Amino acid sequence: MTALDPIPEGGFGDAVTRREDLRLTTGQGRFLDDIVLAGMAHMATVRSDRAHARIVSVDVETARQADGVLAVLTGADFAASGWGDIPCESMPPAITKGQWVRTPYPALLTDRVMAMGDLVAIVVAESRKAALDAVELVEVAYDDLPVVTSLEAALSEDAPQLYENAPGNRVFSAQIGDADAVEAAFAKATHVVPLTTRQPRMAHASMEMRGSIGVYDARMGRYELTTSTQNPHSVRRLLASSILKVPAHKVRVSAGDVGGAFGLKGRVYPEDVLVLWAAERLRRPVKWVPTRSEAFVADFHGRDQMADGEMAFDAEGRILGLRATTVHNLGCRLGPATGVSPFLSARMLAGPYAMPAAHVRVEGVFSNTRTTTSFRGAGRPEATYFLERMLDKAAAQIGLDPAEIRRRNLLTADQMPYKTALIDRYDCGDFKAVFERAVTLADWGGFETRRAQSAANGKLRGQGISCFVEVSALSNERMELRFDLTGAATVIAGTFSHGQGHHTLYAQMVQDWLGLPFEQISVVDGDTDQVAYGGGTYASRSVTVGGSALRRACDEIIAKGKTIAARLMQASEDELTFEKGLYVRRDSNERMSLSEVAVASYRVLGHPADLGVGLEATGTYTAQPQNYPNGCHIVEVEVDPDFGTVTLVDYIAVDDVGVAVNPLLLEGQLIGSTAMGVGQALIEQVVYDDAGQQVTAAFTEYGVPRATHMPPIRSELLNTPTDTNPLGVKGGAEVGTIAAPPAIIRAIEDAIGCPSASLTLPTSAEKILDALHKTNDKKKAKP
Amino acid sequence: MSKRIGTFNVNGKNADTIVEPQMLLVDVLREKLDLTGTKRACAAGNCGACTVLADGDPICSCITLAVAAEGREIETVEGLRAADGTLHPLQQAFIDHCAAQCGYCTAGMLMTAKALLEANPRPTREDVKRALSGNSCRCTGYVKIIDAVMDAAQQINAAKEVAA
Ligand code: FES
Ligand code: FES
Repeated sequence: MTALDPIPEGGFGDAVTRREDLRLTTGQGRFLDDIVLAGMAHMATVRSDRAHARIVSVDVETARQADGVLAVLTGADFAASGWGDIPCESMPPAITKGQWVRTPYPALLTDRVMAMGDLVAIVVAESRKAALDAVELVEVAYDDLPVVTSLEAALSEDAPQLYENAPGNRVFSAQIGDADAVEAAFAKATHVVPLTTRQPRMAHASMEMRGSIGVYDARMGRYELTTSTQNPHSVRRLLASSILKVPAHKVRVSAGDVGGAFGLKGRVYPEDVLVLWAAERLRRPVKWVPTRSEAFVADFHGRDQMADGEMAFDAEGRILGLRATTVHNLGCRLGPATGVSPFLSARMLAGPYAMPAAHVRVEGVFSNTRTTTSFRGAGRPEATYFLERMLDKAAAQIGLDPAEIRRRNLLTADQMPYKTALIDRYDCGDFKAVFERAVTLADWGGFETRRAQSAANGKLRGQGISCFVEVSALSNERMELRFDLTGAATVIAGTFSHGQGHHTLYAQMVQDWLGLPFEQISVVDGDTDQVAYGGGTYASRSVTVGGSALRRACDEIIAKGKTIAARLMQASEDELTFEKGLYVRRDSNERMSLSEVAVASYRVLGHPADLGVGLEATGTYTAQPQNYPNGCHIVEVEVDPDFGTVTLVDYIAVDDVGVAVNPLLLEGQLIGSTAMGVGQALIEQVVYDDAGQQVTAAFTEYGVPRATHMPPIRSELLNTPTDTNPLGVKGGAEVGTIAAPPAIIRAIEDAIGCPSASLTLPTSAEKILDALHKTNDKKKAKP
Repeated sequence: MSKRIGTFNVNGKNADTIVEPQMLLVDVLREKLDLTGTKRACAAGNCGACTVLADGDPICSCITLAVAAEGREIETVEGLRAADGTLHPLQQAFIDHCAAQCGYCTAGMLMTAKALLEANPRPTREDVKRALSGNSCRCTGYVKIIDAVMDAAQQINAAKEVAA
């Protein structure tokens, strides 16, 4: 790792330890399930055990009589309430032209369940145990319907059709790029390489599950939701505008500490709606915390995509064009963010390479599985996996080293800005230089020596490489900076930290830009009553959009403070400079600190009325254009030929994140995102059987990486700051999730000597042994 | 058997509370004794988030019956700090290495690591990985947690040498 010398406080760019961690290491975090309200009741859910069925009847009478039960409510009750459906709001109009199938999504279903875990009824009781016990007493009669679970099955000619208005189970079929240009490119090609890749369905499996507490404030006629979310304002917006149809000020959404999200907790869920609905009916706070097996079937999933296409190359292995079709299994109905990943993935198929022509068709299909949503990386891992496996396969077909084919195609700083053949315009970066640094650091060329050493120990060693570019900084953001009458400052952030350490990062920025002592700066986020507007935290956006908006707020504070200081010092504003928290009058030793100015701004006497009361500013930032983090990761693995087990023995990551605000925290994001990539490569997969039963509903069935899976990681930054935002930063929280899977799979293929792009995700020991036997059989057959 | 008063020794103090026979230790700690630092993430013994020490041994409080914990010395994350508020070297090392992100797995990690260091004061990285292999973390990728445990081991050993 990079040698870091962490310090407890510091400015922009310093390795500052987190102010969040005192409470988190002493057991004082306040997570959703830690909250107990007076009079609080508990909700448990009745969920479908069928993948697809008509609901014939729901008998709640016995459950209603059970000890401690306050209410048992069904889809019919919900339908009668007039509360609205959960909408999908993520299909880009410019690409889909509005052509996609809308699906009904009430919080409780009345007529038809479409995936295991669908919500049929709820029980509210005095205790969680009483509620869970009474769930067992609700009798639901179903009439089974034909089931289709896999993407491949949903596409087949004779597949059951899940929606009348979705022929072929298609949600949408859209395209980007230039089909004619691609045609022409393929006509010139020396080599054409076909490839199909498959992304498994993934479970976010945050250690803290989702959970919610609903309160109805009858006195004010107001709904208050406390929930484990990564985006309180989006939850409020959807509740207010689509579900409750009330002004947003009638709804408060807040969150305390949140135990991980990774895209899972980005928008509103049916259970959020139901705790509020039940709270209003019962006039009591209602809490819902799922069991882990419930979370596995109730939570939206990620990925589950197929990419199929071909790439054209000239005789030297230079890319001429790409045509591809990607199909995403979106589950049984559309959630708010279901459209994000398919379209991000389609546009990022342009990759980090000079690619003169590209055409991508992107399709979504319905199946009897859980709705999908963003999963860390959201589309960029899908795109990168396809491209990187394509280059590996092409290298083998053309007879080039995997590093060499990339060297011939990666974009350089001279080629920037680069308009891709699809949608994006990369503003800056030197993708090739990043790659060269990684290749050097990994001693790519010296690999055979290490392979031989491993062989001497009975292990098969392999190396794999992956290059990527991604897009980060989505949407807009708003940050307030407010001084109080003691002269201390509070950042009111529209982003929402749920493990990323923003309270530390923003304090670093303000310390640096305004020269305030660290302990004089606090950060508030995660409460729509305190934060006027915000976009939450996802897609590596916060440091870029939150930081840039905060920079603007700080600049405005400096300007406003100068006006006040000038009056107080009886100087003209031109005479004052602002340095390290002080307004200094030129050619004199008169000075005044920003805090003193802030205190003065609240005075009744002596503060001019025309300057208003108090010192505060709002900064905004809209990410147009976005920015393009990029990197190159190289991995070495050892495979045990007897057991098919994989050990990651070396992992090199060179990334361009523009500017690092806090290298310590950035490294944490890099390693953490790599762990998720390792999980996707080796063990993670949500599995449904053909009858639509989800068979992965516990940590014993759905593997997440453990400490023993993780390699040592050697990471370096080779930054090209972007001028698309005031800080020069690019996103940095998803790099490993994007880069790791193709590099790891390639390394395993290299180790066991099977053809490039022949192994599939996740690569279990069983698949490896199988591939090894095939390779060995071939060797034997060739005397 | 029905409700009765149970006595629990937690973090060096005795506490009486009403327990039901099916109650789990994690429920008593969180709901009866207000010690919410111990987390429940799977309630099946698979993730280690609920790890506490019983007579020094790490156990999953989510699959331990509360009645079985009576008469044993239970230690939770809330008991790690010294009486004067000084952080345990593991807590300090977790802060210094940025070993927590969301913090949900942290209590379980700290308690498991404490048991390891008591049994094996000079662990190798592999020892630490193995000891922590029952504790899941979805955020950090473990590397910094392992670094922190190695560092804490050194700090503890150095302090012991000074004392000796
Ligand atoms: S909560 Fe006890 S092991 Fe997961
Ligand atoms: S820090 Fe989030 S689960 Fe470990």
